[in-house]
Amino acid sequence: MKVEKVIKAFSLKEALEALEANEGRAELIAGGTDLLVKIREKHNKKPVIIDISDVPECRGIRFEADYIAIGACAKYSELVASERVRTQMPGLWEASRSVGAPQIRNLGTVGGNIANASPAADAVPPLLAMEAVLEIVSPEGCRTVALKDFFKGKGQADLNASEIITQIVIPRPGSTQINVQFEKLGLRNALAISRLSAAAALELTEGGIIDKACVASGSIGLTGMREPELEAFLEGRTLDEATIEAACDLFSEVVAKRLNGRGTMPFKREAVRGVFGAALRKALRASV
Amino acid sequence: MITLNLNVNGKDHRLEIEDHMRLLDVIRGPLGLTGTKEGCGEGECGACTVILDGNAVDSCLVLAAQCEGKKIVTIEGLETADGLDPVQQAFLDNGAVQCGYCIPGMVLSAKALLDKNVAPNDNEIKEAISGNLCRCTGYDKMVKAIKTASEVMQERGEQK
Repeated sequence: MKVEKVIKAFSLKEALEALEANEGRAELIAGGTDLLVKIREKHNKKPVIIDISDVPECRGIRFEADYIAIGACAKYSELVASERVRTQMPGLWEASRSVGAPQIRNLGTVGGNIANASPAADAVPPLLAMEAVLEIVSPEGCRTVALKDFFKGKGQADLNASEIITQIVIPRPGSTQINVQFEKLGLRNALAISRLSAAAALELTEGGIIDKACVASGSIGLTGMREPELEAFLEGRTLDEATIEAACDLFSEVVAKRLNGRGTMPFKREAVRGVFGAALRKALRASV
Repeated sequence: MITLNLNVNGKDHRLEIEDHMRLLDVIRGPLGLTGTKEGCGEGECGACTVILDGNAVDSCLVLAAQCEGKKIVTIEGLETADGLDPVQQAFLDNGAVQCGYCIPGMVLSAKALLDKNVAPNDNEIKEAISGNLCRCTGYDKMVKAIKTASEVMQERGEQK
């Protein structure tokens, strides 16, 4: 569809007003790395585009005592450049670093990656594993939704036309560092869309027993998703090589069942062992 | 139509543009700066790389209207009264240019890196140009050229 009008918003209020004034005819742009490709192919759905990439309420990364708030329009390069992201959320840092190439990371935003609801979104598995919550603002006010409940299907999300994601909030109970790890398999190092990704956030007791496990996957379903079977399996076990091997076997079964009948199943059933195993081994190394 | 204020290569511009234009279209069209190339048009090849507020971006993935008030550097903006930019000179000296189509983007990715990190290691150099495809050179001479440019820039920095 031809783009008839582009409105650049410089505040959240301006963006909300522009959405309201163009009800049903407008969509948001942040980094633009997906929308510009759609526009080029005439696959964009709305004639009016509202730019929120410079809306201050959606920018920056804040480290508070009991949570971390990532602005929806924070760019991947900002996450990669942040020493605190690297040390406190290593899985999210690695996922961010694996996105596209520098030119893409300098444009692409975390919120845009989420709002597109792509099953291959790199930031989504680590954010799911850290139990991230989205802050969504509309003229009616502000609501929050857990990221795991946000995705409704491939490209479909719990976000209506008058709403804007402003922040991604990550709780951090107790420790400052979340042992969250990420691994992805792409077809080459740069610019590759992930074919399979996994993230795990583990809380360990002093004896190395997994007290709490949050496991999430990308590209093995219609959306990025939590993996409760894996979480239940891991909790209560010692994080060691035997547990990792057994968890990878289980993940392989889960993938085989979920993708039954799909051409990618035989590949992904095997690949998930390597990807999830690598993520868990990073968690093991980080814990000692 | 919208009015767009843009600083390109140090010069302020006030342009009347069509809403749907990409930054690439404005650079090559109304501004006439055809050193910036269009390759794939979808952010895979990096031929259209420009420096936007200090960061390398694919100008095919940015709507011009998003750039209100921003600073852009294209390949035409690197040469100064003192001559070519060290990155440009190093590409020539190292024979890092063949057909030339990817070169403006490649040079600007290198420039954006060196402006932030004047002494990058090999991995940092390769990472910086990982979004720029070249089908001629095999990249080796480009990496060497960027190292040469890094050395020249460090020497100049020490002299200042």
